[in-house]
Amino acid sequence: MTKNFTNFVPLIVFLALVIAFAALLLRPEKAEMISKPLPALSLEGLKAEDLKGPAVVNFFASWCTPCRAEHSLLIELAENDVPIYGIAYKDKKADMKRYLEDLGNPYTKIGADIKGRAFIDWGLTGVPESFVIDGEGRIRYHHGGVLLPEDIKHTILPLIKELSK
Amino acid sequence: MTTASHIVALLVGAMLLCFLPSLTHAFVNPDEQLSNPVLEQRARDISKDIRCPVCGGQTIEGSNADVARDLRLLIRERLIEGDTNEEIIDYLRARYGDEILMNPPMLRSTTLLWLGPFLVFMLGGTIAGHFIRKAQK
Repeated sequence: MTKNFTNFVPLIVFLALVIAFAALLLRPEKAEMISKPLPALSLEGLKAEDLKGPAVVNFFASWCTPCRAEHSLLIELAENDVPIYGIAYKDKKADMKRYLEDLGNPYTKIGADIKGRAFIDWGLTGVPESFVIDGEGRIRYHHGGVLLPEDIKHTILPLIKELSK
Repeated sequence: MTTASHIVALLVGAMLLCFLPSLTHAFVNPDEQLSNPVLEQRARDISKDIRCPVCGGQTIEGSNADVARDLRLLIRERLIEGDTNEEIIDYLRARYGDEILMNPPMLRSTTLLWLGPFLVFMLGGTIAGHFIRKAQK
């Protein structure tokens, strides 16, 4: 019995490492931009001075499928009086308009990042990505990838609430 | 030659191939290049050390991803504006972290990461040696 178990120790250690690494790698929080002042933003429709926190900044695109998946959550967030600034990444104006007509428009203001410069300035690696910004012009949370209901409930809303005090 | 030595020769050959410099060609399009050869060379030098943030092991020089192209253009724009190489690299590190560098620096916080493989190798060797000696008895 003991002998048999010993044989499996390397396998168990290996699997534990796989799970630990996967959990760390798949975390949606991105650390690099946290506490940094808001990066430059000079887009058609949205400038840096338009951003009034506490609020959410959401990068999206009409061609991006996961963006569709989180869209209803953004609408819910907007209904809870959280301002959301949208940045449409490499999107055609007509496509973006149709997308928002079909799914609803949760955005307080929308900027068009046609050249993809805001994408780099804000340290993105894909769409969708979302930020929580505070009233002092700083980034407080950076979420890589699609938002899930629990992200809104356990992270975004409590943080907005705390920053609104 | 026996089949076994054929296989060994093949494996050794395949292993040696790993040491060849990467054969992927640069994706810098003619419309991106700067007319000033000195600045263009500096842009190439920087790009060689910048990892494309969406394609894993490729440099932005060797990737045709959209973001890689945008980064190449951004580097050239900043060079024209008079930024030094260090300023451009610091700009990218501030946004993407050390991950953006093809050769991340060895920091105190990452020492274990750099030495880890050797430690695991030594530990494995010690354990293997222990069992081999035991088996020989």
